[in-house]
Amino acid sequence: MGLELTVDLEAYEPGAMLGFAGLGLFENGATTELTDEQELAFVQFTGMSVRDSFADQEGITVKGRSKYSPDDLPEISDEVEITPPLDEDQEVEE
Amino acid sequence: MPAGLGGGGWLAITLETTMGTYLPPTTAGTVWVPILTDSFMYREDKYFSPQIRQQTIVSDVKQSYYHIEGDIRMEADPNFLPYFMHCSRHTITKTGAGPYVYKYAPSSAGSATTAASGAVSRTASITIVRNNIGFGYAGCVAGGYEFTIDNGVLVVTFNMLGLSQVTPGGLGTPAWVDPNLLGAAAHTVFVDAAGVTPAFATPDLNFNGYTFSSNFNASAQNRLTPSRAATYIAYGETEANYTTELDFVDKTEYNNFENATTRAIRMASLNGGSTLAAATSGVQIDVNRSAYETYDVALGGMGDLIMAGVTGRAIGIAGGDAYAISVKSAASIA
Repeated sequence: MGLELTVDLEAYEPGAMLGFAGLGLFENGATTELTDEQELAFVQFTGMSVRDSFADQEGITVKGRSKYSPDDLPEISDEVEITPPLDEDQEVEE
Repeated sequence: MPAGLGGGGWLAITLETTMGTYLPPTTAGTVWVPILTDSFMYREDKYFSPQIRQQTIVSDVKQSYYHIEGDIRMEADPNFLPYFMHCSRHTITKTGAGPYVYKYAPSSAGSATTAASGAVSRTASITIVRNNIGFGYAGCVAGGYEFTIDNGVLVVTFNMLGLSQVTPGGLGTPAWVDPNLLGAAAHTVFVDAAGVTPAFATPDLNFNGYTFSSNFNASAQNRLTPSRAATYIAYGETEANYTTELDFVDKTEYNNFENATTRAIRMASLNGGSTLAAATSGVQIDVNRSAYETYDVALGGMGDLIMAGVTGRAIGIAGGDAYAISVKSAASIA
């Protein structure tokens, strides 16, 4: 069995459809089993596992075994390597 | 962290049970509100020491008092309006069994307060995430607001104030519902004689736009406590005004302007019905007694429509409300 998400947010009407970015729509007051694709899409969107993302969030319960975590994602980097300007008599190396 | 865009951000509001005690968005009762822009942030006048010591540049800096202040602009979605309207200077009545009708009338409270429950004014914790970095603000209230129609859609700008800034421990995961906007076909304006309960029976077809604002002249108050955060939010005079432009087709309202005859104006923005009672959601702004402050009619140019530039001001009325804003919403605030 994969992950099960129970959504019961008191500020929203029972039956209201609530969207979680990367995960899809969920009925308030209902329990839904996540597909592997949903779980992976969520991890890719948030960079967090479903469990960690909803940890401590009142009104949302996650049960079951997690299949994906951020460790499954490829590492990305936003670091830029700055190349120092060339001196006039310096030639560009091929 | 790479650079981020505004569209990736989000805002959550949680009504407080204790004024100024920050509640993170993982708290039950939190609502995630789609906004258009925000400028709600930490404000502080730092102390720069102007000591005279043989130099003409300040010599030191110290942290000073601070508070949170700025605007939050959003579409006037009835799903979310009650949360902000609750955090303002109003007497509140809640009726209905869902959808609910919240009626907000100006109160004379001298400062912001909160409560654990009930149809009373509250303060809120607001969390804003900018580029995945959370900013928590506690003790937040709307010190004023402006409703206007932007390209047919009713939008509102809340002038927010808060007591303190907190770094949220956990941000949780936002939940979003479908937008419920009040678009071009939702609006009807009525003009009537001033009264406690004007009939507002006949629509007026000459309004070219409408803006209603209420300013409670709120200010953050810092007192001598072992904290730099604001101590409370004080309110001043309530100034409620409206602005519009009218086709100038007769002199009735011009004469009312000249004679300071008080008038009532309703703008109803409704979805699913032509009255608030029949509608499934909406906003109704009733100015029950007002006077025109300006009524400018001029020949603008050979090809220009002859319009009246109008501003009006709400006035108190014995036994009634100078103005009242009713919001019909699925949101249930206990």
